Amino acid sequence: MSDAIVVKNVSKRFSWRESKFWRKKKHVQALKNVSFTVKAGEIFALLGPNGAGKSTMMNIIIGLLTPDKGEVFVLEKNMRKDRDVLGDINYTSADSTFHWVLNVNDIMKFAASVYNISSEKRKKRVEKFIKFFGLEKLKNTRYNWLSTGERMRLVFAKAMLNHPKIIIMDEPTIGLDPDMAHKLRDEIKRINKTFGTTILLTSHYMQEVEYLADRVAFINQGRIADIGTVKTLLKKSRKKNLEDYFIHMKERGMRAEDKGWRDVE
Amino acid sequence: MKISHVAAMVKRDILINIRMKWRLMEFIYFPLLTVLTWGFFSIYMQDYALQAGLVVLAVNIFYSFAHLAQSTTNSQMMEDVWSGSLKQVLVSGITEGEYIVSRVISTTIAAVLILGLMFGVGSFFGLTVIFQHGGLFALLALITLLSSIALSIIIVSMILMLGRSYGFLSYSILSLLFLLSAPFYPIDIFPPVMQVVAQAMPYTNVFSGIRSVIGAGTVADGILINGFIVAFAYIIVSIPLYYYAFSKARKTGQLVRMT
Repeated sequence: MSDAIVVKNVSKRFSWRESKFWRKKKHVQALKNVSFTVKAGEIFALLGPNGAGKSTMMNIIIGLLTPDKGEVFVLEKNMRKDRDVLGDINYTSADSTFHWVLNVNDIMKFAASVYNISSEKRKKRVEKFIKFFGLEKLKNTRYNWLSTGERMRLVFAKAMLNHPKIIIMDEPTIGLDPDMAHKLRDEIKRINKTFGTTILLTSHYMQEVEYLADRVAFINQGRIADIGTVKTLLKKSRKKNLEDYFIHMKERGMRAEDKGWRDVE
Repeated sequence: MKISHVAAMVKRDILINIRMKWRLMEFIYFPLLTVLTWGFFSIYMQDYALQAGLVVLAVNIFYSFAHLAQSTTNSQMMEDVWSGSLKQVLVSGITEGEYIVSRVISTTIAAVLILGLMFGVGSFFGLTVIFQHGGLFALLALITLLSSIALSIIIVSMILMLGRSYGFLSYSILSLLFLLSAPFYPIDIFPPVMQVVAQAMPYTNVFSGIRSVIGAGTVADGILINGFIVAFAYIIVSIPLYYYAFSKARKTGQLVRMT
């Protein structure tokens, strides 16, 4: 199995001034020497408490943030130098939004044009995914008139358009009703099995992660604290389920923080 | 730079421009009101000083054009920020270069169309000199357009570096430049320090050119050459600044906070 995403010794520190510009800068080490690999075709989950560094990691992987140190390779391309690879991957998140005056059809057509899908295939593919995600009746509905669930379905329809080799999903089912979330999880699994699409996701729903993920990395205080299959992690921590494991790991992280593990100046 | 990416973005911008009532106000309502207000003023001025009235009208038309050509690019970006769609645009593979070039193209299309409309309406108020000296006015419009494009790129760069709360720069900077560009009078009116500043302003030569065409029916070559030199200087500064701002925003996390 080749590697879809390789994260090598990535560190990221944020600096800011509170209110007055002459005040001394504050710093927080969001990521410190983070390394992990997502293999092609697997579903890999990045777990961790709020503020652990998951979103920072995701933003570095999709090229919105540059690491201070280290490199990220997506489909063997260095994200610092070659962002063309964005055409071969896709991204969904709970906070994915589109311009409010554009309708479902406009958003899908725009994405299809950006992903260089040939004009003959474009129409068919847009229609296919609009139908697949049950958005036919909403084709001409503007984005701001869609419900949360409909918006998420649109995000997923858009994410499938370019037949991506990797989909990065930040909290994919947040805000969805249980039925929709269940359908979406099945869909994620089906996409992964049918097309061999690599999926990197973050989630705060532990059952979701147990159901979906082949492997999990637990990130805390900006460092990878643990990595492995769900089975291995549970066995190692002697916990019954991922929720207990999460609490155990978070508490362990807090104890480490008391010892000055995280660098906050 | 992929043409398909730029074309997709331009098409998206045109769709948004057509669908947004606010944008229609910016494109039609305000420019038309400007021409009508100063058009009636120029009619009234016919009894006193015909040229003065026409100068005021023409300068206001060019100011509206400059404002549109600058602020549309900036408001398109701010709308992407406010709607949260900037992230989806950037992660779909649109590069920073494609992002700004497409915005400049869609803005130019809109601004030039509106300039034509303003000239058309202006002619009913006696501003026929625009058609008599079409070539000169076209050159002055080109200098204005280039300057506004450069200014819009500089403002986008500043917002990228300073953050979304500095979005007000989109609407405020041009008013200051309007004052410093000596719109209705020669720069000699200004105190010496302001004269130096005025010479570096992108629109000073344009306004000076307008006054000259309406007053004397011609523009000295020096005015046009200086106008192009200043406009290109702004363009030359704006492009590396934009790439630097994007790279800096990626490093500091400002880009993430804006998406």
